[in-house]
Amino acid sequence: MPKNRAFLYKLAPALAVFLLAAVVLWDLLPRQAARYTTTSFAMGSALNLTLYGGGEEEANAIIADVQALEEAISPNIAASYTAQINQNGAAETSEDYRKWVENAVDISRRTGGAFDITLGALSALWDIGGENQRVPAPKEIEAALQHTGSEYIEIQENQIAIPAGMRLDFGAIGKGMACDAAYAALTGTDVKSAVIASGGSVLLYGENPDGEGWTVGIQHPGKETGELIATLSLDAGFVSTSGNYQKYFIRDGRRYCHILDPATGYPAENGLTGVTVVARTGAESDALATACFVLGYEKSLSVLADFHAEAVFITEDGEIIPTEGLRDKLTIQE
Amino acid sequence: MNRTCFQKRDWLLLGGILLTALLLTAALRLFGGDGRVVEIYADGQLAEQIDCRSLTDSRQIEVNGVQVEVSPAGARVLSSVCPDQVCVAAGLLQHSGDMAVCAPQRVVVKLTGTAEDAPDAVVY
Repeated sequence: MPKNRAFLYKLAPALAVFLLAAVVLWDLLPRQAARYTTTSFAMGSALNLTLYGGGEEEANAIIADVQALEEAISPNIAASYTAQINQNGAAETSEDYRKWVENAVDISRRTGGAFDITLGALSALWDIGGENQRVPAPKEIEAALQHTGSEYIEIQENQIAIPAGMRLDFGAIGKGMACDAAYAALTGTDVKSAVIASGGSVLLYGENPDGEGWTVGIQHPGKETGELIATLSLDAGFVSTSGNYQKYFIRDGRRYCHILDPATGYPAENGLTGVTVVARTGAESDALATACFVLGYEKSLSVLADFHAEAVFITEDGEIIPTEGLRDKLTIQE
Repeated sequence: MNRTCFQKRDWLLLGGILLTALLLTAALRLFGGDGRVVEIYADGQLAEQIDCRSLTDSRQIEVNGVQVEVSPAGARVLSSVCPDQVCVAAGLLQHSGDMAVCAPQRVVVKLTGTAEDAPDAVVY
């Protein structure tokens, strides 16, 4: 037997093991790129973090910042600024809090009131998803509407004041704000890429390490969790969805969703089941998703243009309508 | 002097090794699944972590008043003491990234995995 062949036969088992190990690693490595994932709970929903280039330390810093935000804005936390303002009509707040309220008031104004953080009393009346959900009497709704309107919030040098009966509620913007807080926490760290999801709001940070852009799935309104109606291929940015298919109740055959129209006091009905908005900040994406759901497709277009935002509208008939800027980024699922 | 180091049976040996490697790759892709692991979080802390592939039958777990069924097919919230029942309506979680959130009970049931075609995030 030539020497080379003898050597080959001696080498064969090692070569076989090497090749098989390489195959297994090849199969696993692309799926498990260096990333750190964890889940926490904040803003009344799951907070999912996927970090590329970072780890537990950065994740904990993000979670702490989002929880600090929640402690400031949640009306359900007694010590929060929001709870204090709601209870006492006014409270001294941090400068950050005043900026958040200013931003919310600005979005409210630019959406013609379709997004509004002063719906706390009205939301409590309906309590959709709560233990006391019901269809309030028209007089009750009319009375609750007397205590709404962002323009009545007084933002002073050190404090914020609201009229008697008004209740602040950040529910339609809070998860987007959580994404903004995550963005701020990530900036300047070693984390180069990340996906942070606070409920239905998502921060896409940096470039996807696989180099192909981020893929964001849009939940199918009529199907089980994880069944997608479409996907978006996006660069870094913020994405939020508002829909009527998760939180609702049915009375006398009629469906009442949790997104209330500030103009009528009743759940919004514009032939839509969901709106997904891509915007420059998390707060804008979240608030605009609600505003567009309230406004309907036609009236939303000028608002989206004002914010340089894009959207995908899903109608009750199952039609999927993207705005111009998302047309070539949208893939409809079969 | 024989200039050809490798003869027919040597090539057969090498070919056999390569073929085995290719078959193993195909088997991993076809039958390896997406490595589904069910994670159950309570108050933001990981309470349970179960590899679906390790199960031969379904298993029920209760966390914060939320009854979760984990099976080789995935996981679902069977019942919850919460008023809105959004978590129950989420149905069977069977794809990587699928999630059922019980906000009132502060419970998150999440399917993690390694599926390459899973989106980076889902908005709902």
